[in-house]
Amino acid sequence: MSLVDQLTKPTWQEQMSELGNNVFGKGQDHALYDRTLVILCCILLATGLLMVASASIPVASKLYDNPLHFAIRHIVYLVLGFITFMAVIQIPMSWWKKYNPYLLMVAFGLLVAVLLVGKTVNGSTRWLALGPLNIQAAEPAKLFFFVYLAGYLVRRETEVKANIRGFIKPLCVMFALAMLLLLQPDLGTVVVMFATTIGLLFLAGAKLVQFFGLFIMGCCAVVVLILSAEYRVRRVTSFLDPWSDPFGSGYQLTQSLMAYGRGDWFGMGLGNSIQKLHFLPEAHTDFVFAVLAEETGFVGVFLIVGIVFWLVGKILTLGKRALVAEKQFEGYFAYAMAIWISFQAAVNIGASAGMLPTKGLTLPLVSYGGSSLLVMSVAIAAVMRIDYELRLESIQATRSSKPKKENKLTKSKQSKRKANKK
Amino acid sequence: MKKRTGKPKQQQVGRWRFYVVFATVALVFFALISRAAYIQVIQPDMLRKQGDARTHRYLADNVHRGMIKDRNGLELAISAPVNTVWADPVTINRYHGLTLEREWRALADVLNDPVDRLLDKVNVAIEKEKRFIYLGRQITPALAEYIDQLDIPGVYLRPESKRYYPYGEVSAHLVGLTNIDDDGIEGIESLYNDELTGEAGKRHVLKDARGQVIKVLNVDEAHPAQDIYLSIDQGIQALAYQELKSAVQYHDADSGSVVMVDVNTGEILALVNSPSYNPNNRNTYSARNARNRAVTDAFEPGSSIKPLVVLSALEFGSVSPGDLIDTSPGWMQIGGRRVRDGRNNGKMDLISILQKSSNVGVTKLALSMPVEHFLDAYYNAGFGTDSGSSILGESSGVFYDRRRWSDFELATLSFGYGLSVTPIQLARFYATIAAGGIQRPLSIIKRDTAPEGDRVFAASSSRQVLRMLERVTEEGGTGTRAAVEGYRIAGKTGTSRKAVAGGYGHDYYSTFVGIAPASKPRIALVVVVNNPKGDEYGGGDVAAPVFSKIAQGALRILNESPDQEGSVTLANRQGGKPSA
Repeated sequence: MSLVDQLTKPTWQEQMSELGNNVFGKGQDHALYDRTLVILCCILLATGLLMVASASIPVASKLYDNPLHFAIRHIVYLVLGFITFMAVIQIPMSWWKKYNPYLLMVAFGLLVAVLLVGKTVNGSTRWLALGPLNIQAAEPAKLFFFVYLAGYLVRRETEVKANIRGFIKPLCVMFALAMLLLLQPDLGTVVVMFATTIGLLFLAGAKLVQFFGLFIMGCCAVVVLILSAEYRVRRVTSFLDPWSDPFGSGYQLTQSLMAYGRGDWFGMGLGNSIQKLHFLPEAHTDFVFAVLAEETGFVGVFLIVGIVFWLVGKILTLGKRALVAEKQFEGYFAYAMAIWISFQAAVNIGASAGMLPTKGLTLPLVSYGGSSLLVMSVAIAAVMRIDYELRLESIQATRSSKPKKENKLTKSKQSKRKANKK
Repeated sequence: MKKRTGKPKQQQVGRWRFYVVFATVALVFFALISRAAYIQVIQPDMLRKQGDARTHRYLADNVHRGMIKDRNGLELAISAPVNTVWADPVTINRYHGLTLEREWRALADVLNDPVDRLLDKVNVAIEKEKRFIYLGRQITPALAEYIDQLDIPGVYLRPESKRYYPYGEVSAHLVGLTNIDDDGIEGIESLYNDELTGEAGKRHVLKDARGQVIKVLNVDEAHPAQDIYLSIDQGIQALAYQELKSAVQYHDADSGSVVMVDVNTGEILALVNSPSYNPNNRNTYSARNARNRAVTDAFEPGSSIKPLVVLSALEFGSVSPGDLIDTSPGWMQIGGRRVRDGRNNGKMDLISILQKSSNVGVTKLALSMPVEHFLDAYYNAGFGTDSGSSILGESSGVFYDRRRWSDFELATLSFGYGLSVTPIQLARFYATIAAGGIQRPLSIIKRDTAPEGDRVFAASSSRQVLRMLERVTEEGGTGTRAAVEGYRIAGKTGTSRKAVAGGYGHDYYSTFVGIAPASKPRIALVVVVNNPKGDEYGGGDVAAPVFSKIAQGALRILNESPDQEGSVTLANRQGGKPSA
C-alpha cells in the first residue's frame, strides 16, 4: 500500500459519517421529498393496521359482535390521518414558527377542557368527545408543547445557554402542563414530555450541571409521583417481579411475556396468536407489540424495532441538517419529534417486554388509537415539510441564478398535490 | 448578525451533543432488541411453559362403565347417572358466595350435612386457597337440578355415575361392587374392571382464556366399555339363594354355599352364599357377609369324596362293579387307629358302599391300589388346584403333596379327611363324573362354545359311578331327601366334622353334591351348609332337601325333560310352566 493510498484512505470517522449519511441522510438529492421516510412510515402504518386487525378480532367479536370493529375504525383513522397529513404538509414552517405560542395556549385549553367536560374511563379523565370522535387531549397537547419548546429555544437561544432563567422558564411551562395532566391522571404523558424537554434542552446546549440537576430532579419527581399513588407502586413492583402475582397485578405483563416467549424466531404465524384470545388485555392498543412478537417472532420484532430506529435516526439527522442550514426552529422541531417518537416507542415496547413499568403509552404509527394516529400524522407531516423546505433551499442555492423558475416549480407542485387530493 | 456570531459555537456544542443523543437512542433500541432476543430465542422456556400451562388442556371423553349381565341378558349391575357437587373456594371468595346464607342453608339441607360444618369446610378451604373441594357425592339428578338452581357462585356439579345392583344380595358375592370412584373393588367388578371401565378418550387441546377450544393437538380415541355376560342364570341364582338362605336360617347354621355347574360347558350357572349383603347399601357390608365362601372357604369334604375312591379303584381294576367287599365287623384297625362305620354292613357291593357311605368299604378300596394311582385320582379330580373360574379370592384348598403316606392317612383321605376342598372344586369334580370323565375348566363368563376339556377318567368307569350314585337318592340311600320328582338324581351326601385345635369337634359341614338328570346329565350342584345347629346335621337331612328344591327349579328353568319313568306326563306339565 503506497503512502498516497494510506493518506487518501478515508479515516474511520469519515467512513462512519459516510455510512450514517447513506442510511440516515437525506437520500436522493434530486427528489423534493424523502422517499425513504415515506416508505418507513407506510411500513409502520401497514404493520399497525395488520396487527390491530389481528389482535382486536377476539375482543371486537366479544364486545361488538363484529370482528372487524376496531379494524374498520383503524382504517377510518388512517384515512383521516392521510387527509390531515396532506393538509398539514401545506403549512409552511414559518407558520409554525409564528404561531407556536398560540398552539401552547390551545394545549392548555385542551387540558383544562378535558378536566371540565372530559369523559372518564377506568378512573382517568382523558377524553374529549368531539362529535363522533373521541380526542385524547394529551396527544395534541404533547405536540403543541414540543412546537412551543422548539420556538422558545430559538427565541431564547442565548438565554438558555447563558443563564438559569432561560433554562427554568420552559420547565415552568412544562410543570404547569404536567400539573394539568396529573389531574387526569396521566403520568405516562408527563414522563414523555419531561424526557423530550430535557433531551431538547441538552441538544440546545444547556449547561451540563443544569441538565444533570434537572435530570436527577425529574427522576426524583417521578419516583415521588409513583410512591404517591398506590396503583403506580403496584405497577412498578409488579413490573420488577411479575411472576410473584401472575393472576393479579402481574397479569398483563406475564401474559405479554408469554406472547414473546411463544414467538420464537419466526412466530406462530399471522393471526395465530393465542395470547390475544382474551388472555392479554389491551392486545390492540398498549400491547399490540406483544401480539406482533407472538405472531411474527423475533424476526418481526427485529424488523419493526429496526424500522422505528431507522425512522427516528432519519428525523434526528434531519434536525441536524436543519441546524447546519441555520434553520434552528426546524432543527429543534425535528429533534423534538425524534425524541418523542423514540421515547414513546421504547416505553411501549419496553413495557410489553417487561423492561419498563407499564405506562399506557401507544406505539406511534402502529397502535390502535385515533388521537395518537392523527397527532402522529401532523408530526410526520411537519417533519416532511421541514425536509421539503430544506431541499428546496439547497436546490435554490445551487440554481440561485434562476430563482423565479424555482418558485414556479414549487407552486406547480403544490397545485398538483391539491389537484390530486380532489 | 447575532445569529452569525452564535453559529460556530452552536456548531461546536451541537455536534457532540447530537452524537450523544443519537447514541443513546441507538443504545435504547439495541437494549429492546436484546431483551426481545433474550425472551424469545435465548431463554424462552419458562415463558413457554407458563403459556402452555394456561392453554394446554386435556379433555376426557368419559365412557360409562359397562353393565354386568347374566347369561340371558338380565342386568346385574348398571350405572345410574348421579352428580358430584364440588366447589372452587377461590371463586366463592372472589364473588362473595358465602354471603348467600339462605342458599347455603338450602344446599346443606339437600346434602344432608349440618350447615355449620359445611360452611366451616368451605371457610377452611378458602383460607388455604384451594381450587377444588367435594361438597357431596352421588347426588340424584333431581337434587342436582335443585342445587343448580341455587346458583351459588363457585359451586358446581359434575356428572358421574353410580353403580346400582338390581338383584341386591342374591348375586352380591359374584358381581362384587365398586368404590365411590366407580372402580371395581370386589367380585366381577374388580376382576373385569378394565373391560368394564373401558378407556376414557383424551383430547389434547389449546383453550383460550374463555375456555373455548381453539385447536385440537392430539386425540386419543375412547375405548368404550364392554358389557360382561356372566355364565350364571339369574333365575336359578335367585332360587338357589332363596332356598339356601331359608335353610341356613332354619338350621341356624353359620353359613352356606351353593354352586351349580353346567356339565356340558363348565359354565357356572349359580353361585350363592349365605349370609350375603346388599351391595346397594354399604351399611350391610362386613367382612363376614362379603366373603364369597363358595370359592374362598375350603372344608374337609367328608363322604362326598367317596365316589372318587370308587372311581379310581374301578379305573385301576382292583375291583369290578359286581364285586363284594367285606366290611364286617363294621370297623377295621390300621396301624393302631380305627376306621368305623355306623354299623356292621357285612358284605357290600360298590353301590351299597356309596349308598350307605361305608368308611370301611372305601378304606379297603383305597388300600387295594398303589398309592400313586390313588393320589393321582385326587389330583386329576382337580383338588389342590384352582377350578379355572379365576373368581377373585379363589382358594385351591389344601392337599398335601408328601412322599410318605401311612395307610391310615390314605384311609382318611378316602372318606374325605386330611384334605380340604372348596365347594366350587367339589362341583367341578362331580361335573367331571357327569361329563363322562371329561374335565373342563369352570367359567363364570358365558361361553359361546364349550371347551373340549381333558379326559381325566375313563368314560365307562365314570358312567358306572354315576349309575351307582343314583342309588344314593333312592330308597335305602343316605340322600333320599335330595330326590326330585320326575328326575333321576345321582348324588352323594357328606357330613364332616370340623377340625378344631387338637382334633375334631362337634360341629359339622353338611354337604350334598349331585348330578341331574342322571340319564343325560346337565347340571352338577353342590350344597354346603356350615355348622347347622339344630337336631339335624347330616348331609342327607340338611343339605339334601336344599339340593332337591334348587335342582327341581333349575331343571325346569333349563327346560330339561324329566327322565324318570312313571312321572313323565306330570313332569311335562310342570316343566312347561315358567318358574318364578
